[in-house]
Amino acid sequence: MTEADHHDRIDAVVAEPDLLAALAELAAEQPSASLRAAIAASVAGRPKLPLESLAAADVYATRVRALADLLDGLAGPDWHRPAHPYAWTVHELVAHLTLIEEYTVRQLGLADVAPAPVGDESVSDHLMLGADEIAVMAADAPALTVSRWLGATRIILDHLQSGAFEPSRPVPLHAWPFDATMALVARAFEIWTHADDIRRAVGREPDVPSPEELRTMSSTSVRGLPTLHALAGGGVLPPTRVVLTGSGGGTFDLVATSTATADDRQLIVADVVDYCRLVARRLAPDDLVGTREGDAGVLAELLSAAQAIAI
Amino acid sequence: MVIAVGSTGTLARGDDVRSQAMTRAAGGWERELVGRITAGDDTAITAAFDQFSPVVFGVAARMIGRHHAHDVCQDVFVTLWDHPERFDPDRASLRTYLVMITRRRCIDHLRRSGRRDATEQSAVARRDVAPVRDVDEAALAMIAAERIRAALDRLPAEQRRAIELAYFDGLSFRDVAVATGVSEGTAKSRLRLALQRLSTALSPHERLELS
Repeated sequence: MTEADHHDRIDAVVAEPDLLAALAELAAEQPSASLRAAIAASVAGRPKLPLESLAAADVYATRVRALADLLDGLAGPDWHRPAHPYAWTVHELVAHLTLIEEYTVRQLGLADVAPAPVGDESVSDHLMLGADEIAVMAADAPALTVSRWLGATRIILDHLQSGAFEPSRPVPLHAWPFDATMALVARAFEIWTHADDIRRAVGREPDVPSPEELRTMSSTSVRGLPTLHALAGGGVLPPTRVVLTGSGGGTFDLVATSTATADDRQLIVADVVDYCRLVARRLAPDDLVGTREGDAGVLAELLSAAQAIAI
Repeated sequence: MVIAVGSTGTLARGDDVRSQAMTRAAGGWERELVGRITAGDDTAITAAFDQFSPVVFGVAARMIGRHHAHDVCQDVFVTLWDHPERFDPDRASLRTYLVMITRRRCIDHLRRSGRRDATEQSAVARRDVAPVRDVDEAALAMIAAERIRAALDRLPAEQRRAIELAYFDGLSFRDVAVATGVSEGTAKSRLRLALQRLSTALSPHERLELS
């Protein structure tokens, strides 16, 4: 419509658009059901292209770089600040990360020790892994701990770029039978989460990953939900749609384990960053804002299962 | 509130909504709905349809007849699907936004075709029970409509007639003047006065917020 068309109509002189809507209500009339169906069909034929996501290896590398930069900028007293929600200091938290990174090196088959199988109780508890060594490392200079952590990440990064990396190779982490892709995303989640724990400890703002990273992290998590749900002893899973809003979000239809039809589909809607914080156990399921439709019990099981990747 | 007849349009080209006046910003359900549409959730469009189609279809049917209203209504919701980024939830509610682009489409149609479909009688405005998705949003809209209806009934006959012709029939100022047998200046003056009174019915201290 041209400007000239607009100026000769009442719409051009109503300064309060809500008045236009209120007047419109007086003419409201229910359209035919066929119109609803026509619109639904039209929209179904116009799917939205998802944002191109980063490879899991690139997300891992990006998170390593971000944490390395953060650690490089810490002042002496920062290393002794408490790192909530843990009983550790910042230094001890980085020591914990180092041990987990070295464990990941082992699980990728890059260490002298063979990977531990799923269910190996000696490595099943994430927080207790190498707990005795944390205090020893924290007694040394922080630079030594950082150097050791960077050494472990270097082994992993070199492997990712070597051509020998197999995205589907089994890489169990603790009790979870991940493949290499899922394992890298799990590592990326942890590094991002602890980097924010450190930022919080030293009075800095949290970091939000790029939309492309969020896309990779969230989509990997959501696609794994039916498996994680089943492994956690969840019941029959009806058709479920997960919609993550915001840049990097998307719409995901989970594979159902029941014979219920799509008309009975459950729905979870959440902001993509909030969802990732839930996955990282920095947001409780009850605090996740957004629409949920369907069986409350099953939905709660799914959101709880989503946190399994936060190892 | 002073409304200057003949002032430059408060609406920009296309479907973007720009307003310097006070309007109700979009609520949480509307913002989430548009977020879902952006994320590719096609069920959000049917939810939007269930919530807003009566007002979109109704205003279009009144302006250009039911037959063409079907096409306009479809175009409005498909456009919302294709371009959710054109809706700014801080500037207007989704209901207001959809009404505005519906009216724009209808005025385009009237300018192309010359007049509304004269073979159709105007439907008696009625509200069938619709499966609304957000009860609070729908309730606020109905409350505002009832206030406007009451204010419209209180208008002097010539002002009410001017509103009906300009708003519901989509006539230009000049065509309103011709239809009512007055000068264009008088027609604009009647509309200005009518809009001032109707706007008072929606003034902030008259708004009813649902707790």
